[in-house]
Amino acid sequence: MYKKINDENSIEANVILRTTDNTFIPKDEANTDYQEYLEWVAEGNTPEEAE
Amino acid sequence: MASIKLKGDTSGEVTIQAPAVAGTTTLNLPATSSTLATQNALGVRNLIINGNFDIWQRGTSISLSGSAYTADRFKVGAASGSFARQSFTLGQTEVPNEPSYYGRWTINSNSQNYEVHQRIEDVRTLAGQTATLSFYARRPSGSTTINARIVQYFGTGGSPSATVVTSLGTVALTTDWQKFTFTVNVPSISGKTLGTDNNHSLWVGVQITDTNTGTIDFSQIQFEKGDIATPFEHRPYDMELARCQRYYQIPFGNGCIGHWDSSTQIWWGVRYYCEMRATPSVTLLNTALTIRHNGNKTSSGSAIYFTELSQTGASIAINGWTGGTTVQFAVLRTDKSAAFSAEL
Repeated sequence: MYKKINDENSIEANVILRTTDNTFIPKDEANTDYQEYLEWVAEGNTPEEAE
Repeated sequence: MASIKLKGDTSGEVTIQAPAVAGTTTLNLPATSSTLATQNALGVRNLIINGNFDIWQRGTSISLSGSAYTADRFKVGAASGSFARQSFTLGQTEVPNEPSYYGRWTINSNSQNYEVHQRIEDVRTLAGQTATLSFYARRPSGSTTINARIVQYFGTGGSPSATVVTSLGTVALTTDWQKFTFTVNVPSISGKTLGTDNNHSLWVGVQITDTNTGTIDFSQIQFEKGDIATPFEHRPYDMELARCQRYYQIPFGNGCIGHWDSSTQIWWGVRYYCEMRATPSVTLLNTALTIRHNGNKTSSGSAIYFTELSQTGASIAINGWTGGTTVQFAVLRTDKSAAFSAEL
């Protein structure tokens, strides 16, 4: 459902990919999509690792 | 300085006072019976954005399987159903002032608690004050009943106070348009604690109170300070669109400039129409983008490879192109191609 993204230097980027609709979500606590991601992680889920 | 004072039988008085300068000042009262509101703000009275259902950036019919944003700023739910733009017949008189559109909520399957509501930024909004919600509604089919309510949401992060729900009353809908008005004392937030994530809000809307199905139509939704439902405030389309774009916009489209970072990848620069409420999420709406570069036109299936986002703009790397030469420029020719959302 979510996947980590690396930047061009292979460092984990400041965005998360929601794979269900290919939405890139910033790691900004004021963003409600990111809040949903944090809730999903808090429920014990783990995002896919970046390629 | 001259003045006229109107005094009540037992208490209270109203003073109409002229300025202490020469000249004549005329106060023109309405020719028809109406209310001259003084407790309300005289401009931007309506705290609901897009209450006239003129703005539909996401499309004019949104399928529902849960809750989703539909008409701009309106979040709508149903186990299955839709929320869609409908046109008023020219000259109709049931809803005044010739609105162009209304919103139709179709509920094909349902459980309690789905709602049509808008999240007004900042839970401080009208806290401790009197407010009035007004709207037109009808029920063309089915027998669903709804309850008007406000919700004070203190956000996330840290230790925010619990959500406060205040019911305004049940709406008895018929097949004819009716205007409904609810006045509410918005609870004080004294002693409450805001979350630290800057996402607190006041929710205003109506909620299903049963498990029935059907269709419900809404028009001219207004939430304003004071205990009087003033006439619906018409704002120009451009003003209303700009207010919606603080929360959702589609600025990546025809005319955006990028450069080839490799033979298959283009980096694009995007400036938003206005600063957004928070750093937005971005979704590519079109996977067959067309560009002009080096005198040629290329069309290709494409996907976002990487993006850097802020509240004012973004850079987006899109893959899937062919025939590029590194460092050369490209111009996007496909309009409305990526949406940015900073909704509450």
